[in-house]
Amino acid sequence: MSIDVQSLEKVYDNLSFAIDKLPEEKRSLFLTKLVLLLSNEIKDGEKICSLINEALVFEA
Amino acid sequence: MHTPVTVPRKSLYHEYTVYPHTFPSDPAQSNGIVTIVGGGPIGLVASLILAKHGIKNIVLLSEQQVSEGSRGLVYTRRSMEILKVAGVADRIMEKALSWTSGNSFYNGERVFRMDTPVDAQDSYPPLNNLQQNYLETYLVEEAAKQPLIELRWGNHLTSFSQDDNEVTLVVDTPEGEYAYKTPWLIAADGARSGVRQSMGLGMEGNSYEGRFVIVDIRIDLPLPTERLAYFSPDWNPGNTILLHKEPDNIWRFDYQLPAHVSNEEALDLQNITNSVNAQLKMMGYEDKQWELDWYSVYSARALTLPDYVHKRILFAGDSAHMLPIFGVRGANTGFQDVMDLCWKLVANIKGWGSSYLLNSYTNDRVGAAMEIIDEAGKSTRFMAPPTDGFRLLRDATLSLSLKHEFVRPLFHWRTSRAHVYRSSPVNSIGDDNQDMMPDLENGAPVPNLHLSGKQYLYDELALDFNIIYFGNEASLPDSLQNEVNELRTQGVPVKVVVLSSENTVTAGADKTFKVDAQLLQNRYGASQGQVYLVRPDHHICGRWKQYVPGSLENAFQKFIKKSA
Repeated sequence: MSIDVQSLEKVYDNLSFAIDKLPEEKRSLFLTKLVLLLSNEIKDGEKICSLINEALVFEA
Repeated sequence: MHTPVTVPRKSLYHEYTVYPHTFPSDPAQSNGIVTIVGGGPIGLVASLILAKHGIKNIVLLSEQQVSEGSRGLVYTRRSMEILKVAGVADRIMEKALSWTSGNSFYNGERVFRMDTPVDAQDSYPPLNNLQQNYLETYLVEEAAKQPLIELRWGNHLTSFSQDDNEVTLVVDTPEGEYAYKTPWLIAADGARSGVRQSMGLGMEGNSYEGRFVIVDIRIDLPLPTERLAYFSPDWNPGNTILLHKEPDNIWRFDYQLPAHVSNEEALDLQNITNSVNAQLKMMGYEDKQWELDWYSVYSARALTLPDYVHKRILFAGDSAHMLPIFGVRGANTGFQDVMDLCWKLVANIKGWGSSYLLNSYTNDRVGAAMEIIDEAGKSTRFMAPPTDGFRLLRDATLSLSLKHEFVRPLFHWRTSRAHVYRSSPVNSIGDDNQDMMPDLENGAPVPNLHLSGKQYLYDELALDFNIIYFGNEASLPDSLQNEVNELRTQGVPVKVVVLSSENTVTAGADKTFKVDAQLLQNRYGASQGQVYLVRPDHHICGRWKQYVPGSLENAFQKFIKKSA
C-alpha cells in the first residue's frame, strides 16, 4: 500500500520549503541527516539500501 | 662509512643513552646466528622471545640510541601479555598510565563515551600509555641481561642476498663494513623497511588522504587518563583532534590537517604553537604554560605485504604492514606478529616444526592485517573521511549526535585486540570445535585466569604447547599421557595443565590448579573431560568435549615434522 496522496503532498511541500530555506551548501547535509533519521524509523538496512539504489536511477 | 648521530637526542622527560657502536673482531663468528634487523619495539621483543626459547640472536640497530619522541604510545592488554613474556611488563606497568574510557566531543558537548570493560581474571588493564623511548629503553636493558642476545649498535644493514639455506648480510658500521651469514633474517626495520624496499616487494591496501600532526607538549592539565577526541572544532573545522595523556606530564595532541596545508607548513613551529593554543583555549586551558617536546607528521595508511615469509627472510611489524593509528594498531599489531612468528621459527630451528608450520605465519598474520585494514577503514572513514560522500555522512552524524542517541554508536572506536586465527592452517580438523562455546573457538586466545596473588594462567603456560584438561579425576587418562610422551620424544615442547574444581594434584599432569567450579563453567564452559590444545602464543588450536585417544596425534600431525 502506498502513502496516501494527502500525506505525500504534505511531505512534498514541507521538504520543498525546508530545502528552500537552507543555503546551497547546507542542502546535501540536510538531506543526509534526513535519510539517517528515516533509517532509524524504518529500521531495515536492506530496504533502505535498495531505496538508495532506486533513487540512483535517472532517466536517460 | 655508517656514522650514526652520537649526540643524545633532546627530550623533556627521557634521558637518552648513547651506546657504543659494535664492530665484531671476527665476523665469521656471527655465522649461523639468527639475526633481527631493526631494534625498535618489534625487533627487540622478537629478540627477547627468541632468547626465552633458548635461541641465540643478533639485533642490528642502525642508530646508537633509542628512537626519538613518544611515537608508539598506547599498549593494549594483549601487548602487555606479550611484553610479559618478553620480560618487561612489570617495569612498564610501574611507569605507564592505564585507562579504560574514551570520549568524543562535538560542538562543545560530549556526544559519546565508551568504557572498555575490565576483567578481574586478566592480568593487565585494557589500555596503557607509555612513550616508546621508555619502552625501548626497558627492552634494551632487558636484552642486555640475556646472554643469548647481542645488540649491535650503529650496525646498518646495507645489502644482502639469500639462497635456500641462509642470508648473506653486509653490515656497515662506524669502523667500516663486515659480512656474515645468518640462517634466518627477521626484518623488523619499520615502515620504511630497507629490506622490503631492496627486495622490491609491493604492499596491498589503501592510502588515505588524512594526514595528522603529532605534537607532544609538557603541560599540567587536571584531567584523568582518558582518550579525548574532538570533532570539527571551530579552530580546525571539518577535522579531528585526538588527545592522550602520557607519563611525566606529557600530553599528545594529534590533529588532522586540512587537505590544502602542506607538510612543511604543518610543521612550521608557529603553526604548531597556534594549533596547540587554539585547542587549549577551546578546552578552557588558555592560561596554562606549556613546553614543546617533539612533533611529527603522519599519514593514515592501511597496507600489508601479501606474504611475510620470503625463504629465509621474515617480515614483522611495520616492515610487513602499515596501519592507521586510530585504534592503536601499530606496535600492538607488531607484537602479535612476533608472538606468532617466534614459536613457529623456533619449531623449525629445533627441527620438530615443518615448513607448513612456518608458512602458517603468513596465513595467520596477513589474515590479521587484512582484518585490521578492513576495521581501520571503518574508523578512518569516520575520523578522516576520504571522500565527499563519507564527509557528508560524517558531518550528518556529528550534527545528529547532539540530540539523537541512535547515531552515537557510530563513534565507537575499535581498538586493537588479539586476533582470532579462525582459519589458521594450524587449527585441528575433525575436533569438536563446531559444537563448543563460540567465544573459545579454534584460533581465539584462551582466556587468562587469575590463580592467586600475582599468579596468572598465562605465566604457567610459558612458551610450550599446553593441553588444558578440565577434570576432577585423580589421574590423567593413560592414553593422554602416552600421546604427550610421544610428542615429547619428537621434541615438541608440550605439557598438561589441569584445571580442576576439586584437586590440586592430578597424577600424570605437569600442573594442576584448583579453580572455582562456577568460574570454570563461565569462563571455559568447562565440563568433565573437556580438553583444549593451546599454542605457545596462547591461541587455541584444537578442542574436544571429551578426550578421545588419538586426538592429539591427529592435531599435531598437520604441522610437525615426521621423525624418520
